[in-house]
Amino acid sequence: MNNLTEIAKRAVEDYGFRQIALWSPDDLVEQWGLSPREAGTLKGALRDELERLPVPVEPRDYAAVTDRLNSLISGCLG
Amino acid sequence: MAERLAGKVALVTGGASGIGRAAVLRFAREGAKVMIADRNVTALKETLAEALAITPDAASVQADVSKTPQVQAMVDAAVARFHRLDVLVNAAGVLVLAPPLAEIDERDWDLMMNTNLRGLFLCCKAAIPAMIKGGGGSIINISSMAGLAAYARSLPYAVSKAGVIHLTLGAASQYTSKGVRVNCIAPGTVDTPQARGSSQSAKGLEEIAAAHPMGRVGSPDDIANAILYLASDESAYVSGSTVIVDGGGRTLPPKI
Repeated sequence: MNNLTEIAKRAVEDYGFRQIALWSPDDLVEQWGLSPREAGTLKGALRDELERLPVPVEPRDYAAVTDRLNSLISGCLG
Repeated sequence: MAERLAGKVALVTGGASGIGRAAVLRFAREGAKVMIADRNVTALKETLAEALAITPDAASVQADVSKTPQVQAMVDAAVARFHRLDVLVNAAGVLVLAPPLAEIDERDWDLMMNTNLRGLFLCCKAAIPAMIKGGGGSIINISSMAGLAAYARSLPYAVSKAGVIHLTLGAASQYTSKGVRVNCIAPGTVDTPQARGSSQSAKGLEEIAAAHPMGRVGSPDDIANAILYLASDESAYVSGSTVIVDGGGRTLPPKI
């Protein structure tokens, strides 16, 4: 699992972590050593998707939502 | 009854949602001039609009409390807009769930300490000189019952909130004589977006409420009422205190 998909998975399952991804993404960029392209995805397409998620995401939906975000990340990073 | 905060200038961090938002709206209704600070711009705009519907004396500033320049700019913005600072409510905080200690990611530890404890320290550090310049003030720090008891869901969060309680006591010992009262509130479970999110299920808070002596969790307004008391002159002889607002939740027998 690369850094960005792990960040996405945690943001789905933990609202506190999601808040950091949404509103203090530079902290994660620095802590996780994200590349410029990963940082751009976190602050762009991934952020838009995370903002639309319900609070909380129900555990039964974790896999489906995470898969959708992983596809998005793959599409952005190639 | 007269407005309990008439003429006072208040700065509320984390003011766009949950407990902070409830404090902002309560302060506005009680005659305070309010500067709302938050890192969430969308929620900040919404809360500012609600406050402006109550009073013209409300403004907002985007700020991440873990960043020193943003904190100083936040305090400067409040003083520039309203010409003094009487009340600081430190409600900004974050709860990231964590595994047992030996498995905790150091990055998560840092994230929570940076916002919940270092950020609160920075806000106090920036605000106290402005309060002293104006003749004194009241700081209300939002801790948690997690800071007073073992909290299995996130040790870093619990430790940061315990630190807030001790910071409160220490700051009160240093600044009460200079006219700045420093107090702390330890809420139990409160129905906020943070608590709903951290419960990891829509039924999470319902289950906590069902086991609570009052049959419910706290509302943000329950905490805002205590914040209002500590912000007002009614608490003129209160400093260095930690006020527990948990509806009696701590009276439950421990789960063995």
